[in-house]
Amino acid sequence: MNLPSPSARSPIGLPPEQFAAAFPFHFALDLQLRFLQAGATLRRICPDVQPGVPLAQVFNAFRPHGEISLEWVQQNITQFFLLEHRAAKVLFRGQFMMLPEQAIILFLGSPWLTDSSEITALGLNLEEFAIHDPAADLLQVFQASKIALEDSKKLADKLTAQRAELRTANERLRLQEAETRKLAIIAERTDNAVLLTDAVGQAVWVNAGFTRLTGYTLEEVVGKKPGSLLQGPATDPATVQYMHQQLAKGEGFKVQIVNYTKAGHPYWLASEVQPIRDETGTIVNFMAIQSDISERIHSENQLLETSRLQRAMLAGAGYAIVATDPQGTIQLFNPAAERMLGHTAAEMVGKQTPSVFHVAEEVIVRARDLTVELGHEVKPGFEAFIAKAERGQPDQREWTYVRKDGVRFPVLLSITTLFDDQGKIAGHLGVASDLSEQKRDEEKIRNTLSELERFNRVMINREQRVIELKYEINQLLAAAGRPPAYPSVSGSQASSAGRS
Amino acid sequence: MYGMVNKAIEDMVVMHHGESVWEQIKTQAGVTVDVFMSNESYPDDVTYNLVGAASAVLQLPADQILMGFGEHWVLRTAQQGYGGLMNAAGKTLPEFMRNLPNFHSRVTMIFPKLKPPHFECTDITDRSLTLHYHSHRQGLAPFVVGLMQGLGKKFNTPVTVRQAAVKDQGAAHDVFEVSWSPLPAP
Repeated sequence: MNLPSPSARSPIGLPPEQFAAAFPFHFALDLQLRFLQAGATLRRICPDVQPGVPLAQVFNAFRPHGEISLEWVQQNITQFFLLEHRAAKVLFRGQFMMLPEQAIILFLGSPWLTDSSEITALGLNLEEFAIHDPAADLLQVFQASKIALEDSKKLADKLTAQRAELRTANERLRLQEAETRKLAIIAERTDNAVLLTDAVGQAVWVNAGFTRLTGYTLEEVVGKKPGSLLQGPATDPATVQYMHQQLAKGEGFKVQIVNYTKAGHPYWLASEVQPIRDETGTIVNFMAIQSDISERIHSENQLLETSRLQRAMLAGAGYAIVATDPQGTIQLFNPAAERMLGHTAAEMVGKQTPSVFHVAEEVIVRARDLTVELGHEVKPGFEAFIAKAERGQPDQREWTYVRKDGVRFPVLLSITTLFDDQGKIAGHLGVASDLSEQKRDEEKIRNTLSELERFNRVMINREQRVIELKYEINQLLAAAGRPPAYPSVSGSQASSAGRS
Repeated sequence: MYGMVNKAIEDMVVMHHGESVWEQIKTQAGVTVDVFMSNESYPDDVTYNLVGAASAVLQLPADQILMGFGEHWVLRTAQQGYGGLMNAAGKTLPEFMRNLPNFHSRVTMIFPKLKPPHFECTDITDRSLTLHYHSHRQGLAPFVVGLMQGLGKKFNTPVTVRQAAVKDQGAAHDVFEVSWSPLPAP
C-alpha cells in the first residue's frame, strides 16, 4: 500500500546500505519506467539491469496481464506483480510503490522459486535472501510437500501392488481351497489311517481309516499322544526311540512297528510321518499315513520259513540236485551233488553245464534216439537232456555220471523243466540217485540165484538116484517072489525118473 | 518423531542389509506401518523400538547404529529430501552450520505438530565450533555425533567430535566440541 497506515506515523528513511540489505532484489524506476538503481543481488542475476535501461526491455509483464507501462503499474498497484526477466527466465514476485514526491516508482520483491535447486542454479545462496524474506521458508514448504507427495505416491503404489497381490493370492487361495477340499476327501476316505498332530505331537485329527484300524474315534484321540494309546509290550523300544528322535529334529521318517488296537490286538503298522511347515518354515503339524501290514509281515515270515525249509531240503537230500537256467548253465548244485561228483558248487554254478559230468557218447546216442522218437532233430548237447522234459513229459532214465576223478557210475536221472507264471521256460531241474549200490545188489541176487539153481540141480540128481535105488530093490524083491518094499515106486515112474 | 526419521532408518537398513532384514526388524519392533509419511508425527517409541530391534537383529550396539544413522541422515536422507536447500545453505562446513538452526525452526513453522530439536552454534572459527543440541528426547547424542561426521564428509572436512556436556548426566543440554583441519586457502 502506498497510503501510510495510521500506526506508521513517523517517517523512517533507511540509509542506502541498510535499504540494500533489506531489499537485495529491489529496483527503482523513473516515471518513464527506466532503471534508476537496483539491489546488488538482482544485478548479479540480471546484469542487463543498468541505469537508464527501460524496464520493458529487460522484463516481461507476467502478472497482471498487460503491457508494461505506467498505466499498467498504476491500475494494478493494489496487486502483486510477477515480472519475468527475459534473459534469465526468472520470475520476480513483489509490489510496486509510487513515491510521487521523488518521482520514483519502487519495486520490492524477490525471485519466485519453486524448487530449491534453482537457488544454486542462479548462483545464489540462502544468506543472500533478506532474513524477513520467506522465500527460503516457502522453498522448504515446497520441498516438504514434494516429499509428502512422493510418500503418498509410494504408499499408493504399494497399495496398488498389494491389491494386485491380494487378488492373485485370493485366486491362489481359491484354487488351494478346492485342492484342499479334494485332499481332505481323499484323507477322509482313504483306506489308510491318516493322523494329524500338532507341533508337539498331540493328535488333532484322524480319519475314518484310523478308527477302522485302531478302534479309536477322533474324540478319543484328540489331544493325546498317539503312541500312548497305540503302543504295547511287543512294540520295539528302539523304533519308538528313533521316532522320538526324528520328531524332535523335525524330520520325516518311515517305520514298521507293532501297535495295538483299542481291543488289545497287536498288528504290524507301516507308518510314514512328515512335518508340515508354515511359510516361515516353522513346523505346525506332523502328518502320519499308516497302513496295516500284518498280512504282509505274515507272508514274508512264511516265505522266509519256506525258503529255509527248501534250503534244508536241498542241503540234506540224498539225491544230487542240479538246476540250470534255460540255456543249461548250472544255477544250483547241492551238497549231495558235490559228494557224488567231486565238484564243488563254486566250480559249477554260473560256469558249467551238466555235460561236464556226462559221458559224451551216451549223450550222442540219446540225441539220436530222441531224434527218432520225437520226429525232429535233437542235437547231441544239453538239448539231449531236456528235449523231452520241455514237452512237459517226465524224463527218467539211467545215465552214466563221470566223477571229477574220472570214475564212472550209473545214476537214475529225473529231469523236469520249470515253467514260470507265463508258461515260459524258467530252467531245468535234474535229480539223480546213484545206482552203483543197487547194481551191486542186483549182481548179488543173480549170483545167489545161480547158486541156488546149481544146488537145486544137485538135489534133483540125488533124489533121482534114490528113486532108482528103490526101484532096483523092488525089482530084486520081485525076482525073489516077494512084495515090493517101496510100492510108491512103479516101474514106469522109475523109468521116467531115470530118463529125466 | 518425524516420519522422515523412521523412513531414514528403513532406507539405511534396506540399503545395507536388504528388505527381508528390515521386515524382520519391523516385526521384532512390533511396528506394522507399511510406509512412513515423512511429515507425519509418529510416537517416539516407534523410533526407539526400531533402533533397539535393529541392534538386536544386526547384533550391533545401539550407539553404533545411531551414529551410522546420523551419517546416513546427512549424506542420503536430508540430501535426497532437501539437497537443494542444503546446497544453498553453504559451501563450507562453518557456513552451513550457521544456517543449520533455520532448518529446524522452519520445520516448527511448517509442521506445528512436530517437535524438532533445536541446534545452536557458538564459537565458530575456521577450525572449530561448539554445537549446542537441545532436545526433549533421550539418548540421541550418538545420532548427533553421526550427523556431524556426515556433514564433515559432505563438505570434505573430516571432523573430530567430542561431547563436552551430557544431558543424560545432568547437564542442561548436550554440548559437542567439533573441530577440523582448516581448509587450504583457495
